[in-house]
Amino acid sequence: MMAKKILALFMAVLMALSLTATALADVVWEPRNSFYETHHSQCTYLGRSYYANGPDGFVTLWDAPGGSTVAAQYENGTALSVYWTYKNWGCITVWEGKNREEVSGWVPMEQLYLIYDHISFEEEYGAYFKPYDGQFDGSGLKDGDEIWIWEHPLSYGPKDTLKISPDWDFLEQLQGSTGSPSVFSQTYTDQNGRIWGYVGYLYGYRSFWVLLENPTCDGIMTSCIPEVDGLITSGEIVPPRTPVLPTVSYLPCFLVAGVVAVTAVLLVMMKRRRKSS
Amino acid sequence: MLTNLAISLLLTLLLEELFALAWGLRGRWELTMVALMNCLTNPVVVLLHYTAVTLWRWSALPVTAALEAAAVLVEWRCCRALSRQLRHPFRFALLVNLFSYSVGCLLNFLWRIL
Repeated sequence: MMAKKILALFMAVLMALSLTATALADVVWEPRNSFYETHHSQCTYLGRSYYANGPDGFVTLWDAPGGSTVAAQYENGTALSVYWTYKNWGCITVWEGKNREEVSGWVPMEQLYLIYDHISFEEEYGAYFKPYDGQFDGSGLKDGDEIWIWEHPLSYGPKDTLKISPDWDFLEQLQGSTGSPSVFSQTYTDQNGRIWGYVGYLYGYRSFWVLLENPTCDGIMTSCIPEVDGLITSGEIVPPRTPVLPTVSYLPCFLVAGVVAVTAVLLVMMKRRRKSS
Repeated sequence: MLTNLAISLLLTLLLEELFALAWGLRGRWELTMVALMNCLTNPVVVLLHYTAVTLWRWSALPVTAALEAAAVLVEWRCCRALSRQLRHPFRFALLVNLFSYSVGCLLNFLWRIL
């Protein structure tokens, strides 16, 4: 009886402790994925976006590199963010649905096509960058105007806008003031002679470019054709197809069914033996 | 997934056998019964939980509650049908599952922070 009381006390303490579990978070995104959690010291942070480009027209996200359980599937051309890599596998996280539920899974990096981003642009044109020298003039901007921000000066279109309002001192930060230099660090002059300025970070907006002489991009035409369509047409991305579940993903179901069937038979045999004894 | 299934089953077998011994169950018959009823419920619970919560994005709390309740009911029926020593099979089935679930949560928590 005493042993049962001690056991009950031990369980009460355990249950109380189990409620103390909290989510761990850091500055960089860490996925809720058991393989990542057990191998995070061997994973490398990447933080770049790719288009799905599987040989069959879709990619399958697995629970682990070389895993046997499907986490999700996406048609080719879907933009996916790879946050971590392990050997030649990338860990992708997507937030889906109304509640922005996290979906994380692993995919071979060779089934992804790198989206040209500010890093790619710097790798290609970094030699032409010059230090920022006060070229941005926001004097003509007023509340309600929107400054277009671009992933890089060769982008098909802007990735976001900064809306001028009394609540945010975007203009002051971009222009700089006495004792507080402008957030622009470098410039690039494109083939049309337009000067672009690069910002590493501004109020949560990371790594973007602004057209310095025309920050609201008045009269600038952007492409209405998605970049990915061109890549599919040119054959760089395999045309998308509706995903099909791979056969190996049914393996855990078959194994569990087998274990349950064998156990059930053994339990029935035990029951018969008990009745006969 | 297969690794998760194996670890979960082995850990549950160990914890529930220890609990059964602490509860006073003795003999090969009783301990085999505890092992078999775990082999019957644990892989199904882990697989269904993974499918519902991770793949189908169902809310974890009701799924966990429903699956654990089902496991308790199945194990209670096993204990009632087979045990020669248990006087309160439902109480045993409920507490042994609470014990293994709580230790599992705690180990998971410790694994994350260490």
